[in-house]
Amino acid sequence: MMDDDDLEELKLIFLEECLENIELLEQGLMRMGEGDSSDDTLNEVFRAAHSIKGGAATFGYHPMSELTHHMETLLDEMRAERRDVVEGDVDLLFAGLDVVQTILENSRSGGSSDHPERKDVEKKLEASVLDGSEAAVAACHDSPVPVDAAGVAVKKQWKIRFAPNTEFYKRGNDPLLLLGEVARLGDLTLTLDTSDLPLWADFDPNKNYLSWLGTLESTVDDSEFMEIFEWVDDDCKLELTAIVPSAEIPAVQEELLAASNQSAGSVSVTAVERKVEHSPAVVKSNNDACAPAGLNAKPKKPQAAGSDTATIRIATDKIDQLINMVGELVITQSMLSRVGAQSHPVDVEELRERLTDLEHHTRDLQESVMQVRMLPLSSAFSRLPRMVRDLSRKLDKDVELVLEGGTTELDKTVLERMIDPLVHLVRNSLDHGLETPDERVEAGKPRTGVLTLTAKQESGNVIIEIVDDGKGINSEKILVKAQENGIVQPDDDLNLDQINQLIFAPGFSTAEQVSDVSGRGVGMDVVRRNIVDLGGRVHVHSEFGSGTRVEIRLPLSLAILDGQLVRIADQTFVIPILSIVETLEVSQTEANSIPGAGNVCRFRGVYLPTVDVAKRFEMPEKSSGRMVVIVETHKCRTGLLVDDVLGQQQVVIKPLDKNYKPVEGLAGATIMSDGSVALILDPNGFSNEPMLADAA
Amino acid sequence: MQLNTIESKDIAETADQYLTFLLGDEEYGVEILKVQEIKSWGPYSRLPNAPDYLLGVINLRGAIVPIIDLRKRFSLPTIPYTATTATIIVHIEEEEQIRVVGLVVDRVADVYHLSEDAIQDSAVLTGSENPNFIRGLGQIDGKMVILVNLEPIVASSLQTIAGDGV
Repeated sequence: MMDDDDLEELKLIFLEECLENIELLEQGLMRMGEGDSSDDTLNEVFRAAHSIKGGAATFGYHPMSELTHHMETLLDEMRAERRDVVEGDVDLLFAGLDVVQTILENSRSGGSSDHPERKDVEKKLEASVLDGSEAAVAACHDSPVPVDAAGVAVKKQWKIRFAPNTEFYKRGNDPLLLLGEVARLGDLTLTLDTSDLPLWADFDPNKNYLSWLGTLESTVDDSEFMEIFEWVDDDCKLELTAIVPSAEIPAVQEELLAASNQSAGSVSVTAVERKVEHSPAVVKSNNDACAPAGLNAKPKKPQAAGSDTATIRIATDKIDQLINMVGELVITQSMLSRVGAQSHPVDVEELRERLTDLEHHTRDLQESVMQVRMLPLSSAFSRLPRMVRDLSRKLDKDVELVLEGGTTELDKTVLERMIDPLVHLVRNSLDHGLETPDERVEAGKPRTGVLTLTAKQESGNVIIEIVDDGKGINSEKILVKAQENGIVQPDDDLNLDQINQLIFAPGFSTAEQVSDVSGRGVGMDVVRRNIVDLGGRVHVHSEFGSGTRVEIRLPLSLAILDGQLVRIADQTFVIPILSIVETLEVSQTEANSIPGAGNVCRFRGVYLPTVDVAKRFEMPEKSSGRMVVIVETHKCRTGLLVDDVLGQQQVVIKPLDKNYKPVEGLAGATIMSDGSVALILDPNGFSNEPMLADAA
Repeated sequence: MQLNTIESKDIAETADQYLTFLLGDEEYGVEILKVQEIKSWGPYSRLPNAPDYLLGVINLRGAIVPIIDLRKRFSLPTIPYTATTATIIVHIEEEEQIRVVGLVVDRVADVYHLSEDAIQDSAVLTGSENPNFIRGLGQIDGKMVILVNLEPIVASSLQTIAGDGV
């Protein structure tokens, strides 16, 4: 029908939209699960299911559309107040949603578009719908679905006339798909009416001259039929009349034949199909009009409540390019400022003023461009309520989940890579942190535990906190375990806070029994690693008996970084401020060297591996190593020896491997205001040093 | 149609043009199509754990570009960098990636036309340490120009080819 590329693109848009609709469905179902059966919620959920169904049918994902059709039927019953919203049904809908989601994920990665559990869920949904309608019939006799004594819906006959306008194809509509949908409702007999076909000379392949007449034998009511044509009802004439059962059918057929006997014979749906496929030019020449059709249809439907933000889809590489260009602009601007500052004051008063303007403008511009990539944290938070609901049931725990600061924004990449750690931390809190209701009562706490997630922005960082009022960390147990696993030595002198951080150490797991909730090997060290990889930090605070608070600090973006400038030998380097714990003079640290194992320095009672960066980088000039910068790495805190600590500055990260290659110990490079290149240190690149960890 | 012929003729003409530069007394040439620009000598930042001929990186309008000292790369005696020292910015294609690299030379000399038949195969040169660095020898007005093969020089200097890491 269309160019494959166009179709692929539309498919991608559809799959993206599906994700959004699944999210809406999930949120709506959550509310329904909590007893909300308001029209708004039901309508929103119904619309989301309906959009998925429509799109899935259009793009040939039939298993998906069939399943959502069943979900939709159940939802429609609820919406029409023919049945109550009960927990069993909500669970069933959740099950359906999970299957849809799996199918969607598989389809996105090019896998199967079906799921083994689909039929099963469909059957259950169907059974539930039938149960409900029986109950409904018993309750009120004028049920819109006529049901005979055995509980089987009676088939009704409809007379159909479907006459698309001449401009029908321009909107990207396909009569065949629509009629195909109708055929799925029941037994459909169709006759093609070609009486409006003009002479060949007047024929315009972009226009539609065809219409269809037919009968439909089905158990559905007219609303379901109309729904199929919901998106096109402005573009066609549609008539649907009920036929009184049995006796009149032959008459109708005769009438139909009479209406179309001028040129067309009786054509079955398959014949129509062939006909449409034989004239690809009809739609092909309309590509431009076709592409947005799927989107055009959308605004006609009322927007989902509470999600009225206007959005636009932009390829991330386009945004990245913009961000790069703005980065350049910032650099040029700072270079110009330097020139301005060095010139003679009398001549350049004006220049300086303009430079100040430029500085403001570039900063503003940079901020707004960066905003394009920013997404609210709520999109990551949104998947937590469902998880907490399922998990708390499984674990027999009473949990209230509080989400705060969902509007805090974070770079898309950072956000995406934070979802897994967040999910893991929440699971952990539920599994290990919060007690069962009985245990809680015994400890003098309310039965329902509270799990709070808060997000806020603070001085260029985003801070996410996961707080529970559970039993807290038993530091004695942690210490014993850590000693057993050889993570700490028996004579190591650790304070309470240091012991608590041990839960992030690799190879550490306190789960006494491995449940399928947590303790599956993906430990807290992975959580920490993910966060550190993003240039962030994680810290746990806990008081035994009264709760745990995990604090995550993240950079706002991966393209720009708050840097601490340092001098090593004769060169300026940048250390990401977020990874710096403290900066000290070497003389304060009792620095020592262990033969064959490198250097150590003493920091807050612990010896840390220390790297002489100049030596490690084989720089020709020697470093005086006067200062030591303590940084957080994957493995442990590490000291970096530097000559001098200079100012702090926001820098634009430039990749080294574009023209060179990745260098261990470097996160990239940046351009300083004097145009020179400064290399950015990657603290994690030093954590592999064969030092204390191995030597101890 | 006309336009196409002109363009391809242009390319054919520039294809056998060479930019030449000096290292000591010898004149070397690189294909002009691979030359992006010529920069005067300026400050650079050293890279960690790099061989001595890989001087470091410079800022080329926002891009981080590594620079290679060709004297050091060819194991020639080094001289101080002067006002005539130039960095020839070249771009080479490597594994479907365009890499931009600077070559530091004593000074830039000239641009010459050299047809294929005026270039003598480098196979005559034996005993060279890196025989694939040299593409051939060109003759211009009785003077010899050493035509270099950029790709192996850059790849070996940056050690970007797999298995060749530090």
